[in-house]
Amino acid sequence: MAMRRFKAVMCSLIVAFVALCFLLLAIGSVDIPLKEVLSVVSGNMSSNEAWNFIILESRIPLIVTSALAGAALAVCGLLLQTLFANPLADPSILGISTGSSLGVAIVMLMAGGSFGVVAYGYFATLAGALIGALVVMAVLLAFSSAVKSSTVLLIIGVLISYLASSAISLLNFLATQESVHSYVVWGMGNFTNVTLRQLPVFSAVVVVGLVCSLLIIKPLNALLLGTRYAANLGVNLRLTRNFLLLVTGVLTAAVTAFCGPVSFIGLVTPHISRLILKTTDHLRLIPATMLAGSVMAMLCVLLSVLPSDTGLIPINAITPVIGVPVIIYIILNRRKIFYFN
Amino acid sequence: MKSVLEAHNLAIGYRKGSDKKYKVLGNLNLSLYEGELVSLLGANGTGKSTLLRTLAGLQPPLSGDIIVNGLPLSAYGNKRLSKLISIVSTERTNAGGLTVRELVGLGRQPHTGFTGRLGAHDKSVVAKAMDDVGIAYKAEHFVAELSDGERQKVMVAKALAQEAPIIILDEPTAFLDAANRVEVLRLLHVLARENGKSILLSSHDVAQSLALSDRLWLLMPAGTITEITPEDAVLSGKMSELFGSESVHFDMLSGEFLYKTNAECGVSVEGDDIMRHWCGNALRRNGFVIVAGSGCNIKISSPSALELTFGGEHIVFNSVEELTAHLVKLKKEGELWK
Repeated sequence: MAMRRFKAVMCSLIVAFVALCFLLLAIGSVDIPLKEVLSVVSGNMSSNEAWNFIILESRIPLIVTSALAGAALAVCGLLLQTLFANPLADPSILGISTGSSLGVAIVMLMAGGSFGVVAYGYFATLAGALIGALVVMAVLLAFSSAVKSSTVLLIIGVLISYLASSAISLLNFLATQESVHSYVVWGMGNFTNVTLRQLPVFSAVVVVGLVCSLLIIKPLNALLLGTRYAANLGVNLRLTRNFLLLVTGVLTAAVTAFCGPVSFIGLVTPHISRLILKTTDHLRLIPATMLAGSVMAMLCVLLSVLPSDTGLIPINAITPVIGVPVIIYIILNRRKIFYFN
Repeated sequence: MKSVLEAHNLAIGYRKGSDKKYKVLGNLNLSLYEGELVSLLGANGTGKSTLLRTLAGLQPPLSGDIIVNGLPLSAYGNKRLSKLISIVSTERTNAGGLTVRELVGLGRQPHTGFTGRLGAHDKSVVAKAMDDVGIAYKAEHFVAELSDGERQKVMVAKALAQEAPIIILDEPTAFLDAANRVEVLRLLHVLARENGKSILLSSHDVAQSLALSDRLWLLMPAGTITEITPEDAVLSGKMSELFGSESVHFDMLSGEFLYKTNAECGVSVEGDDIMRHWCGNALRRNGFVIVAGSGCNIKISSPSALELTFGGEHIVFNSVEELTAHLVKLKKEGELWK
């Protein structure tokens, strides 16, 4: 029964995923006939060099980036929600994204470069984002041993986020107009920043992070019972928690560095997955959440490319439109939703 | 008898920082034997939960040793310990989205592989655990749909599925109604007797603990723990000292703690045991003390014929209610016990 539901959900998500792949290949600011698109994808270059370039250098990286980033953010949200036993935990609310942003801001604004400039390179941005994320993680971890309530910890995360934002404002104030502009554009969220050349690095980091999340399915399920029960079931709490925070830190940092601080996908997708799967068993929840995260991100990208004459709409202008109604629905119905209490 | 869990000169409590210690209890020497059910009784806030957590290896002791099956507790890793001790705690869980079967299945984690997938044997252990606590009919329900009492049973089933020889339970009957309380304790008693499990539980249900425990650990107000059988605890008067309260005393006959009343208002009651018990219940509640041979005597021949003899007068009442009302009136007017 439960297994049949899981299979049905996975099949539906795969169908949606494939459909979105085709739509994102076919739709864009330049009209390319679908037949030409398919022949380029299958290896037969079109006579139109521009079309080849658009498909290979822009559309395919966009699809891969959004699929991986969506999966990464959704899994981060799920892991943090389980660890903190709080349905509102996610990388952006806990301040991890903002920590990453601060790291990126330091690299981009202090160093005076803009994203992708060869002199500093995306490795510097990635390192900045990673250090920022891990510093926030470390602070949260330090507080979590002193603060028992996960709600209080969540509030501390929000406050850290404000602190990081204030530092970012200061950096913006001191930086040149040019770098402020590139930082603001980066901050709006964008899955088109990853070039074909950068794609292998981004993909490798994200895929490793996603695979790592699969390694802690068993302790995650034990953590649903709370830390004492989990410890009594043989879970090494410190190891599991540190591993989990490292995985979320790396995933959040990678996505934030390349795509900007993308909001709401991490918060909302785990809830959607639980609601459609009707379980909180991580063995089924993690794969479904990854796939649902990809579908969510690709859907947002599709919405961002649809009004083709104005160029791309920033991703962070779209995610709240999808995310906020879902969160309000969940908050209003929390007494009726099966996985609360 | 073989002891499975021992404490030697154990001090329990909390560490604040690297050297500050907040001691809850100290100098404890305890043993839990194979196949026995032990109830830990004591007042609120005396450290029962801290002691249980420490013995289960979930909280480091301040000093002293805990020995599990002949080896120090610290010598076991989390993994090995999870096969020896299972717990039921009062911790809030976040498992509403699992079915009862899935949650009980988590109890198999010490025995399953990397992904936690259950094999055929695991599944049958889970099914038996659910049967034993009587929650099998809700196996496919979400835990969120259950009442507090049903959840408690599910956690007990989880502990059973873990198949550890030692089970430590912190107030396992706290949320249960009277029937379920008896059922769960009876089940634990059977597990100790027939399956040789060693069961340690804390409880506020004194009457049930006296009835079903092989031994008691009495956590006295002075911070010491007395290991004693229930009967000796009652007869030696240890039970009366348990709560160190001026206003409550232990009634040896009923095995319950009762409110101390003004000893001057003594009433004697004659009749069969049941009628004496319940008439006494009403009188005690209203501030009288049941004594032997008082000048104020009640003779009960049936629930509707209660004869009060007092100061040469004989009045027959039709119910306990009428009798009690009359006595209360007399007491207020100062007619009795001048």
